[in-house]
Amino acid sequence: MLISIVINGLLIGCIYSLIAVGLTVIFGVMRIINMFHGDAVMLGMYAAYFLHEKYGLSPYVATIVTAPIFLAAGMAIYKILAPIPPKQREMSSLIITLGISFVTATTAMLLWTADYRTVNLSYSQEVFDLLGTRIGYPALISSIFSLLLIGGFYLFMTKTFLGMSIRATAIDPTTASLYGVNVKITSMVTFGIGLVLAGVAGAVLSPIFYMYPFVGSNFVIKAFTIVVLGGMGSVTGALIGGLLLGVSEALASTFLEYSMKDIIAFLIFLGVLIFKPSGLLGGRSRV
Amino acid sequence: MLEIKDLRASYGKLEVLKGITLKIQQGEIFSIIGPNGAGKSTLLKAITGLMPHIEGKINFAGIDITGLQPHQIADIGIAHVQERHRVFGSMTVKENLLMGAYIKTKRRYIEENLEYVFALFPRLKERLNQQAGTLSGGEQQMLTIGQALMMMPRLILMDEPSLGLAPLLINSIYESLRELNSKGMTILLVEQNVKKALQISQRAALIENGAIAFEGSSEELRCNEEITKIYLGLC
Repeated sequence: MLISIVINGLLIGCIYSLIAVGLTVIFGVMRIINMFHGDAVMLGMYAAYFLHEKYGLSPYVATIVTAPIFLAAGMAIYKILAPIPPKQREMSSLIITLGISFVTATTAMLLWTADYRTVNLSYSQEVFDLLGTRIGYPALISSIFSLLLIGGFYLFMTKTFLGMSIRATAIDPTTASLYGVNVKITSMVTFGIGLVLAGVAGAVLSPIFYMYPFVGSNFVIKAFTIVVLGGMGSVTGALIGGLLLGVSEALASTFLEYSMKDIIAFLIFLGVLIFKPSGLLGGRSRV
Repeated sequence: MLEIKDLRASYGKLEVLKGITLKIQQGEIFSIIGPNGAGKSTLLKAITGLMPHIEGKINFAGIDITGLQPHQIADIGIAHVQERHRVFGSMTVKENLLMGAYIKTKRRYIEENLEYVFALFPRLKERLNQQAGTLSGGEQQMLTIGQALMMMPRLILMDEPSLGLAPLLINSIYESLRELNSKGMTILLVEQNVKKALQISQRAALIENGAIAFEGSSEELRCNEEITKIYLGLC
């Protein structure tokens, strides 16, 4: 029983990590606190839903269609935030993206109503047996898909010039520019990539989670917890933080009340801020 | 190679450079000396586009580079080694060196350039996979020079390479600068270590209060009365 709780926690944790990776990269490079991140997840869920309803596209394939749109949207939002002077960026970006978040969620409510929806796949009811734990196929595929993406993103950040320039910009934008990095374009692309990761996470969540217009706020809190837990700007930190949060939630919902599950994120958030504000791995801008 | 005409730069209302005119010749080491706060570092920042408001003209190899962005100036072939060896601390030595080769046209020479840097600073090769932030000050200084060399620049601006280093290390850093220069590299050197700077450079200028107080061969500056008054008996 304990094993199956942990396994279920790890599975959902992989997807939490994917959401958090996008957020941590955006924060690490630009000191932008992106409250819109959860809504990007929400939009990714709805996009996957409609592409599945209308064209029968699998949510995993749908990510190829939606990724360029999220990239463009992210770059557009960056354009709004870019003129803010660096000193005011954290606070101002928080307020602006919070505003964008409200408008997006409310518009989604008008367009798609408050109904709960989910993507029903042909194999939604099929289960897989792992160490005596019964796991739904969509959950398994979504988790593996997320892990692969995080792994791919890690390689992108460490092995490519664009990835390295993103990290260098996060550490010291002035010095990066002296080596030929166009900091503005790098930041814009980073914001775009961050939102692509959020959108993909939404698609991956669509067959295993219910979607509704305000579901984003749920995810953004979790993602922030993970980012604080793993250390700002760290991809590995986000992965570890996501897995920890997933398992903690699974344990709490079993051994405490199910409704206690969502308190866990807040408790961890507070705990980390009080006892280890630099995150579990310490330091920022490590990959 | 580098021509600066009546260059002015300010931080807000405070004017730091009050009309600097200089010509750096190809193949020379030109050193800028002067007291703290005279505007030496600001001059380098103004050249590489790090100062938000500048007036005057900066011409490099026939191109007007006044007001260009730092990344454009890097593209054109000017490397700027900032003071206090600003490496990317949480990236490895290798990654730092690769960042030096970020400009697309320079990437195909990475292997040869790495060899060149390792020949100059064998210590970097031993530390290749270490995080740059864990290196000693001297090693970080070597790394920043190595990064600049990966850019294959036509001109290197060096800001206080001796700052915070032990005398032995300063000597070895200066030895490598001399070697680079002997292979044809043009270097604009900013230093507070006047003795070192005037030993290595062919020509020099003294900046005081944002303006050039003296300019001439390093030899002349070494024996100039006023300078010896300030920097006691170098002649």
